[in-house]
Amino acid sequence: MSNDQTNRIDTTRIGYVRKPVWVHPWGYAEAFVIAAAVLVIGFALEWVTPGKSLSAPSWPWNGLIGGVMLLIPIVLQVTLPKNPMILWMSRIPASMGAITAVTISVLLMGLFVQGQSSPVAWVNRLGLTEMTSSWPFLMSIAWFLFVLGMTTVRRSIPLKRKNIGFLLNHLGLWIVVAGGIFGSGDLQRVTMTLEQGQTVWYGTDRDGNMVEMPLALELKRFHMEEYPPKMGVLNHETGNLIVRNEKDLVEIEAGSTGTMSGWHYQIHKFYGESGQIGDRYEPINDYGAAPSALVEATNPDSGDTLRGWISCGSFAMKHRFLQLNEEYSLAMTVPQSKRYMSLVQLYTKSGETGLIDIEVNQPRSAEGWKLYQYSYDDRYGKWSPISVIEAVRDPWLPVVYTGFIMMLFGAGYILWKGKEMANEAGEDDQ
Amino acid sequence: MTWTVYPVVAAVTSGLWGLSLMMLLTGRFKPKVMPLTHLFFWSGMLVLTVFILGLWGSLDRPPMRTLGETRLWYSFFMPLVGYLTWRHWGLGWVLSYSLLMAAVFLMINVLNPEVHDRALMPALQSPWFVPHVIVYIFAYALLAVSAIVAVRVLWDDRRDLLKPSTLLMADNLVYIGFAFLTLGLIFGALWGKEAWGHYWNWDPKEIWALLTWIVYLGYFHIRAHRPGKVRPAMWTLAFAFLVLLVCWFGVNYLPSAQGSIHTY
Repeated sequence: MSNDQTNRIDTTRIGYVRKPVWVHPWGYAEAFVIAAAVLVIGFALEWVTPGKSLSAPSWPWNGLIGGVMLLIPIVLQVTLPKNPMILWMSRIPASMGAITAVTISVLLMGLFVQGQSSPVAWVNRLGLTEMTSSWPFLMSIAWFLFVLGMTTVRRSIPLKRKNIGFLLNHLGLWIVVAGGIFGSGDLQRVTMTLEQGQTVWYGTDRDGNMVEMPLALELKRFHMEEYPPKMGVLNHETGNLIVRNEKDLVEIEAGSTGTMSGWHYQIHKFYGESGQIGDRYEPINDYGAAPSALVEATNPDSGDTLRGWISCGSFAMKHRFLQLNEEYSLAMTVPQSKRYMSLVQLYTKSGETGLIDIEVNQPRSAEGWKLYQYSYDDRYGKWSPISVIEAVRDPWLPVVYTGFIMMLFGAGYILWKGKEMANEAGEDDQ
Repeated sequence: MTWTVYPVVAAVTSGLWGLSLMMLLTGRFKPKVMPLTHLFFWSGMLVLTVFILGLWGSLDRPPMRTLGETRLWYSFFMPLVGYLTWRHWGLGWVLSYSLLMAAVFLMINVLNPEVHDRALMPALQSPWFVPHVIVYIFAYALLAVSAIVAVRVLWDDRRDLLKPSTLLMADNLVYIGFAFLTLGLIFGALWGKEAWGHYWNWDPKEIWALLTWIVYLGYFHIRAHRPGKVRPAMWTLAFAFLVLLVCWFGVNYLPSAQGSIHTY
């Protein structure tokens, strides 16, 4: 290996002669010119068709175009295997050009805020705020898929065992990208807003259109668990909590003591759900009950001791601070949610019914749809009267997952083989 | 164990690694002290491990949610990668740099103290959380070492001192790092499907993770095409690490990423 390496270093350094562009065999220069052309034409198309966002066609057109994208490389490689252009398209310089084109369009996506129109007119007109549905993005992806397809097909004829890692990675990636792009034409994402006691059989898609569903949902109960709230010192002037280190914001627990911004505190009582009765709080579990704590704070300088209730309040109850002095108060933060879920009665067209619980990270399937706990009314927190369920249908998911599995094995192959890969990937036909 | 004791942990760990480094350098002249390199190195690792496990216990959730927590794992994996590289290729300088880098990350955490926060938002409560983060941070550690090696290669190449073994090491680190990057990306996609309804949402963090992945992909191809032309590939490798850093930290400062589901 090392000998070979040294030789190759020498020959390339001595034997490198600059070849005019567009004279075969093509190399990097042509690859980058074409990549730049793909992007420039893409932006030009975007410029002359303002306001038109592209989206993948739905079945059967997406399947048809995908099939053609798959067939072209096969036909070209079988009929014209010796053509210098075909050879070039199956090699690394063309791949690098395509990789660069995709990198640039993804980079633009990463730099410009997506999904909101920009105050700068040309940014919008070039499609920079809606990259995924813009010409430059789709054209660079198409060029990328084409070159990737050419390379993959070339390496699969004839099929050799030593190319297994190459094929897992390249074909896997082709399948993932093609499945993702073309699959987006059939992807449906619909939100269903559920209220207790109402059966809902329609939803709203991302463009605000009403969609009738093959299933109906009725919210039985929305349930949320919360972490205990925290306590901190509030600066009246800024309206913010003072957090300099971990002692400045503590989880509230009855009996705990400590020092915060110089004040020594002791938490005497803590109620997760309570209501205000006169000047004190008592545990209740009514609708809209809020957490509260009885706190004692001592000023280390004067020795003054203050005692009082704090509460973060709720939609139904006011919050309450314990004022320490002119500048500062002790305050309680709104508790963060630990988990939330909806208990839902499901009805389907096929007559199947059942009680299901839909929780974040634990979607349920029905009638070819996956149902997700999406959101709730955060003004009400755990008392939210509504629960929003997202229903997602993605018939191309098995395709994309096949690609993922191939790439996972491909990654395993890279780990297993390591550096031997570089020799395999080398351009043996040059 | 909480962040309160962290400054002590960071100081002790860095101190032990510093001693390990001294022994490594002294070991060139006095081979007898070499075992001490291992002893100090592993003692430092042990202290850090105990802290991480203790923190895990006290938080009651995997300590992988905040940037500070990911830095902690980075400081854990970085020396391991450096150590294994040293043992495998016999190149002590890699260990030195990775120990220094790990110590710097420990210090960043001392200067940016964290609040003890047990809260773990529901979307993160998934069996994918731990593998996704561990695999990524491990990849980041490998790729950081590969960036150090790339700079070394460029430096050596300029002075015509480049050894094939240094280049081979860069390649191997990237191969392993890239494989883990791929695993991290796919684990993230599978998790995304369960948590957010789709495997790819073009979230800013996802965009930058894809960019990182794709720049390393470029490195592979440049290397494979003309193995003799070292410099373009090594510049790509060094640049790729900058993209990685944007993905890891920089995204939080980008205006395009303010609505990200990955801000922490």
